[in-house]
Amino acid sequence: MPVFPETLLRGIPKKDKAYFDNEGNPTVTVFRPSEDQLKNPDLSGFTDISINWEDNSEVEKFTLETLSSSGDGTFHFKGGTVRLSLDKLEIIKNDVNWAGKIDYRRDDPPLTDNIYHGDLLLANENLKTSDNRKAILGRLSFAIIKYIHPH
Amino acid sequence: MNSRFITLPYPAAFVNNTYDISSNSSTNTEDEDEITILPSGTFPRKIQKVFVESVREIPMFFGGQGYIIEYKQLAVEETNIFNKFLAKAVEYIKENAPAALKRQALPYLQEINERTNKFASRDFPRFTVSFPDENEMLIEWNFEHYKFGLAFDEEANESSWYVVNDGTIQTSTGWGLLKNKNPSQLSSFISSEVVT
Repeated sequence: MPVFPETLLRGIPKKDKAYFDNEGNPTVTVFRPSEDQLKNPDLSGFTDISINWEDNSEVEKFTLETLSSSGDGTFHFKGGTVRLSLDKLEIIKNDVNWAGKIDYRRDDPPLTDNIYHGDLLLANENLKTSDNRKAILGRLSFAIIKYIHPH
Repeated sequence: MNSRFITLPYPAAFVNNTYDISSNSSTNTEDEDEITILPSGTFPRKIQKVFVESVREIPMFFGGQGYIIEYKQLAVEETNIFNKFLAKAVEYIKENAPAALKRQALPYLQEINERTNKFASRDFPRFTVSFPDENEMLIEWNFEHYKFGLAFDEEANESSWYVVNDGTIQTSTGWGLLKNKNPSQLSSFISSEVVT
C-alpha cells in the first residue's frame, strides 16, 4: 500500500507574469493540464497532474532541482513549486460540489528516477470547457499552503 | 454613519456579536456590539470599526442559503482601496495585454469599478493579473475563503468567469462563459456577493 505523507509538491514549469502578488499567488494556472492532455483525454476518465509526495525534507530540493528535459542544464520548474496539504485535498474530495471529480494517487511500485512521484487526478468531464476547467483548478488551488520560489 | 452589508457564512460564527473576518482579526470584547476588523491579505489596510445591527438569512446567488450582517460603519480611515488597485490593474492591462484581450477585459473592469467604488471595501482581496499564455489573461481576486476570477481568451467565446470557495463556507460556487453574462450582470453579482 502506498504511503501518503501530509504534504505534496506541484512544480510549476513556467513563470507566470503575475502582477500585484509578488509572493507567488496560487492562481488556477498552477494545475493546468497540458494542451496535449486536453486534446487527447485519458480513457480512464481522469487527467493526471504530476506531483511529488513530500516524504522527507529532501523532496523540496529534489523537486526544485529537477533538470529540464531540454538538456540545457537548467531546472525544469522555473516557476518554483507549491506545497499542498493532504488534509485540504481530502476536504475537496468530500466537498459536495467536487466529490468524485478530484483524487490523487502514488506510483506503486515507485518510479526508478523519482520515488516520490504521484498524480493529482482531475475528472475529464470537468476539463472539457474553459469555464468548468477554471473552476475545478481554482478549487484545487485552495489546497495550496505555501509557495516556494525556484532555485 | 453609513449602513453597510457584508456577506458571511454562518450565524454560529458570532459570539457576542463578534466575528473573525480573517485569521489576523482581532475582536474588541470591551463593547459587545462593536467589532474591529483587521483584514488579511497582501495590501496595506486600515482597521474598520463597525456596529453589528442584525443577522439575517438570505438566498444565495447560485442557490443555498447564506447570512448577511447589517452593520453601521463607525470609521474607515481610507476608502476605495479596492478601486485603487483595480485602477492600477486597468493601467497595467492597457500597457501589457494583447489588443484582443484588452478589448474584452476593460468593459468588465470598468463596470466592476463603477459598481464597487461607492463601497468602502471591508476586505481588500488579493488581486492578480497574469498571462498564462499569449492568448489568455487571467484576473483573480483571492479572498480568504473564496476566489473570483475572469479568464479572457483570444477566442472570446472561450472567455469565462468562476467563483469557488475553500469548502469552509457556504458562499456561492459557480462558473460560466462570459458570452452568457454581460459586464453589468457580472459586476452586479460581484458588488452584491463578492466585494461588499
